[in-house]
Amino acid sequence: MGGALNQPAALRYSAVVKDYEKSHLGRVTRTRALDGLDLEVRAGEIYGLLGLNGNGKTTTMKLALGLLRPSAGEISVFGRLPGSAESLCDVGYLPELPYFYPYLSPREALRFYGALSGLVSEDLDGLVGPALEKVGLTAAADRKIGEFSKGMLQRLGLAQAILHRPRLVLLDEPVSGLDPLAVHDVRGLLRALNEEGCSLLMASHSISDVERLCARVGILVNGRLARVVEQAEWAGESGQLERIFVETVRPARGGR
Amino acid sequence: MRNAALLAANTWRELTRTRFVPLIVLFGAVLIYLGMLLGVLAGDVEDRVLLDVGMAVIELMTCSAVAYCAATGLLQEMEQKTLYLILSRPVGRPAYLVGRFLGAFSAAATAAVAMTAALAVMLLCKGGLEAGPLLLSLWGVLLKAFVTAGAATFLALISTSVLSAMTMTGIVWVLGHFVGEIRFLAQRTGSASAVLLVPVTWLLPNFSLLNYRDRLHAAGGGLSEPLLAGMLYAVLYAAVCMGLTSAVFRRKEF
Repeated sequence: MGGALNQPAALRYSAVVKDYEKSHLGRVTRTRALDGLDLEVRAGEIYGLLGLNGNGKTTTMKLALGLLRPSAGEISVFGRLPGSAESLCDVGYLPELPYFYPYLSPREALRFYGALSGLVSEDLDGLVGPALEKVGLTAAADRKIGEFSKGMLQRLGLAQAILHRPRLVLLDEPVSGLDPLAVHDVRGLLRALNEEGCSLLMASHSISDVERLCARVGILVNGRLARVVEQAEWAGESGQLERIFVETVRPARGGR
Repeated sequence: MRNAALLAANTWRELTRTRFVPLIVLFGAVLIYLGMLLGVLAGDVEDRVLLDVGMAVIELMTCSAVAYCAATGLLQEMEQKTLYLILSRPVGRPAYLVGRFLGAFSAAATAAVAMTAALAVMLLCKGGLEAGPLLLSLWGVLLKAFVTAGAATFLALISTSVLSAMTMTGIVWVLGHFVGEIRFLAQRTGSASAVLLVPVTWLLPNFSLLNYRDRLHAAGGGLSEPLLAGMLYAVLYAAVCMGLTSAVFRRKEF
């Protein structure tokens, strides 16, 4: 980890504000999704993002990809602008519900997304098979995605996110819809990715998974980073992270 | 350009695998076959009627297909969120638009070529196939489809639904065939409101420039200049549409 200190942060948010604007009959309404977010994912770490629904987790991820633009503040991905071709080459993204073209097979989908990520045919030949194997989809590699269950889509989502060997992977609810065995496998896969040097930002409602995987956890409350918890604060005491989370979130919800 | 080509190929694959293109071809072929009934009524000019009706069907089917593909493709990708996995990769937004546009056009062009081949076979069986006018008509249809794809892509992006995008494209397509007439009537009436219509007609595609077979009969065969001018016009019109679409799309958030 010592070398990581000299590297630029994998992902940095500085005083980021994001307002969503909706216009109806000339009247504009603004909703603040992020309010002065300061967050840093260090190179080589697994950072967890916890928060209630609508507290800005997905917005945080989309800003790093350039799918959304900040209303104020700055974001950098390995020191580069989010959404630029250079930064996107280094990033993998698993959306909360990965949407695929139903007429493709997983093999075709991975070849397509891999090619869009800049991989050439020879690379794809060597990467697609192992990626399908890692997520346990080898047997279904040539079936139509339209026939897949939610869990299988999630596995394929993970495969497309890591196929091009990104340095940073953004995971929005990575274990959502998976059965217990698949959750176990995905955890192992994410750990292995991290051991290879990949940084991970993982938003989840599953505190136990965050607890097992992450080195640090940020708790978002109403679009603000209310608290950053280091692994040492919860390690060795079962349920400690959950207690910290509830203590942080409850006051903001009026004690409920 | 590589990403645009990949996206175009994927759009083409989508439209053929979802059986959209085969269905268009089948439906067009059935209509062309039914056109034979009109041919029977035409007496001495049966071949001419078959060609006219056949090419009219092909144009209508091709332009409807391209309008549908261009209008639905973009809106569906936004609605179904398949766009996330594309724009979260190093794919420029203009490249994405060009890919979708070229994919929609190439799928419709494939259908047009297949339907024209069916018509050619029918004319050949009747012993009245003239390759020149048929190919000329096909070229005009392809250019119209190119222009329609550009207009539909732009209209889809500023629309709120597939239905409104398709409706607007349909209106533009119909008015585009009467640009000359609209200008003539506006000037003849001389009223201020009618004259104000004239600048608006410059925004519409002028499809009469691409009706090559009409020109073949009018010009007595001298077509190299209109062919080139028509092609340039179609490319320029579609490029302007795509430029405007790109400017709007660049500002969009997902």
